[in-house]
Amino acid sequence: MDKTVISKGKNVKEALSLALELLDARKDEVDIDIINTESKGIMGIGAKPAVIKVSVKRSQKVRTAGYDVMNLDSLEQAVAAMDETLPVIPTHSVPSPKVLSHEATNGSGVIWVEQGRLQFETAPDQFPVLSPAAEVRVIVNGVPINHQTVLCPGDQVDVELEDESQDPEWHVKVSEDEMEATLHVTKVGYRKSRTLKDKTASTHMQLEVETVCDPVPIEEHAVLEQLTDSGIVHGIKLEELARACHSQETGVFTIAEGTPCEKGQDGYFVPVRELEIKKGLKVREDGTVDYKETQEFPMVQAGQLIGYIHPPVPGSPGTTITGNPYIPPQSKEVNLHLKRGAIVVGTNKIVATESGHPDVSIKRINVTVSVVPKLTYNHDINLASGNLHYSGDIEVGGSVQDGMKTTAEGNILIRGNVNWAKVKAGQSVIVLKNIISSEVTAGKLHLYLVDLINRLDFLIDQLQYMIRAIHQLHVSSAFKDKTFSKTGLGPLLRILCDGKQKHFLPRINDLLRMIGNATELGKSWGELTTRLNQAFTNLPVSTLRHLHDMEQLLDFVIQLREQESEELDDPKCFIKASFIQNSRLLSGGDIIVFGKGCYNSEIHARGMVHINGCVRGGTIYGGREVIVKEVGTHGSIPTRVIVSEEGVIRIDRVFEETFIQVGKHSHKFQKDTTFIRARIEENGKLALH
Amino acid sequence: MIEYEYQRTGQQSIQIQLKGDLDIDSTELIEDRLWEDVDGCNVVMLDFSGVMFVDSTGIGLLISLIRKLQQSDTAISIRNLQPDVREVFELLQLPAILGQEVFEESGM
Repeated sequence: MDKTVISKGKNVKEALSLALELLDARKDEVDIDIINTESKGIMGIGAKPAVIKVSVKRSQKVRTAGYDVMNLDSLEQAVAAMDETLPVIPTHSVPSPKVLSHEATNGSGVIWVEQGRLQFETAPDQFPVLSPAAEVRVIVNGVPINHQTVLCPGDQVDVELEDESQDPEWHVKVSEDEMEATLHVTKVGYRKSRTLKDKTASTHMQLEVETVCDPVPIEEHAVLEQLTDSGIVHGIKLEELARACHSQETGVFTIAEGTPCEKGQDGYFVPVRELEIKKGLKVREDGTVDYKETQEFPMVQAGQLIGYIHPPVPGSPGTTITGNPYIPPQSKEVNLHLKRGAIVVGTNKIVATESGHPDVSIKRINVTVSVVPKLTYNHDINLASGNLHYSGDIEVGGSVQDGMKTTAEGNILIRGNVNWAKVKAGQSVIVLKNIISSEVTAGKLHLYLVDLINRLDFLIDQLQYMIRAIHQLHVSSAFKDKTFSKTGLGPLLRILCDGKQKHFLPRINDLLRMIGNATELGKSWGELTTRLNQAFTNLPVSTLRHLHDMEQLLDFVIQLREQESEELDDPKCFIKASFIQNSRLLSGGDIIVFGKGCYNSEIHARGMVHINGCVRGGTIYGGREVIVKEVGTHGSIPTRVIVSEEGVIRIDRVFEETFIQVGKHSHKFQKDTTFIRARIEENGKLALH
Repeated sequence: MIEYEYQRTGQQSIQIQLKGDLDIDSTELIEDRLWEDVDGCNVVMLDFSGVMFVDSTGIGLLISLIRKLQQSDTAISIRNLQPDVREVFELLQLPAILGQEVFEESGM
């Protein structure tokens, strides 16, 4: 059947384009009869549209249209109807509605969407109502609408749908050691196309938009090309590359990896006998602690083999992603220092030349071996014996009595008590009975150094606060930070020290005074003094000019703190005693109390504190861990248990009023509690169980 | 650079309208002229609605001015702070330094 339509428009051209669209045909596929050319009328009155008749040529195959083309009769009627009701059908944009009069379909004033096209018809007593949707622009007679609209016969309804697209964005990074290439996907590519959702005819229709989002993957060959351009030839992971290119999320993907080298092994010391001093402490598998191990220091006789040196084992090279060999760090020989009492026999055997306690210190490849001689004294140390000082180990058969001092560069073993006395060992101290009203130190640390380091912690904390405040001021739009280039940070520091940081300047002065009074401090402390003086003694001329200066000072202090703190740590050292009262104990490593407990004493251990009994009053500090059976008193003496930020406190039973502290977080128990395990959780909060 | 206008609202009370930036260039004006104008007053009201920017020197000047006035028992209040300036004052804890009562009517 011939396809023919009657069409009209403002002019012939417009009418033709409408007809071609209705027929879904091209201009060269149709015959055109002009029925009426347009007339303009006067001032728009009496204007008449152009009317044409358009038929598809017989020879042309009619292409499938998206909808049924109306038959000629109904169209002619439609045109007639339009003549009566409206002057002009303006140009359509795609997709365009098909306008029908009620006579044409015998309909009843309805609106619908068919194959993505909005269509409607009116009836004399019913006008369809259209509610637009957010993602679509609906234009009625040239005016965009965004609310419910009644459609009248001949209304021109245009629907505009926007497509949206994003190309993928990415770049490739090669690690400095050329062992890894990563694909950084910074934007995921996509195309979003929108169509109107089909709707059945009804008098009121809510438009709905269907959005189809198609991913636009990264072109793998483009990535590969870039890899080639960067000289990457080895270890390309094609599967991961494909996964990255098709990823629907941004991210970093490792798309090439070199073959790692096999690290060699540095030379090392192999002991042939027991060298470690048994601390007499073993945590059994069930978590309980065995305090009853040996309580002697190991001994070696002249001529006995102490151990031998194992040579380094070289590693094997790997391959970088650029195809070059990846050389492992060279394995190093042991750097052996032999001191008193030890010699090398053959190439690598270390043998004692005198009897004593074998002292082996291993710091990475640095191995120091000596045999420490032992002084044995089988009586009490008292006014009769005098104070005892020895460069090696000391064993005292009796007790250390009132006002006496015992010092050794090595270990000290006391079979009796320490009463009102001072005991100081370069290494460990074992007291088989009690320590009463005494001072006992193990390791090379000094109390004032502990105190200085605590003060550095305060300084670090305050500097960090100042840096945060300056950062915030930098982003504050009302703050003119340009002035800093003229005045430096001095005026600002003045304000901060007036406000929240009131205690800052007095505590800096305290710190400077302490450093000044201390002897035997390293050079770095002198530099700290200079820097703090320049920065804070006279704020208006402070050497802190910029944030950067502040950060440098902070770095310096942090470094000093770490360095000095390491100096204090002496994990091999320990103090072990049965019972402690009214005393002060300081250990570079652990402190172990295997008897009744610890009353009103100050205990400071860089490593662990294990107390088998009770702690009543006083302060217990453990760098890594504090384990106690029972803490606190039902009385007036407060008890404090403290560990570092990374440490853990375990207490089986804790009484009210006991104070515990982990790093900067503290807690005071309001009632008796059992089985405490206090530590800082990953969220930065203090957990008690 | 800052400027100001003042109005005597009573025998010994004065209202000062600040305009401009309270910064290092305000030193002379605050330390000399403003101090002379408020000297002898026992109620001083500083209106900050015209102050958009501050720097640390400017705030330092303000602190020493107010401290001097407080020593002579002058009641001083700061009003109509711009939100951004208020943020800076809060950050530097001026209420803690100068006393909360100074800022009672500033919305801090």
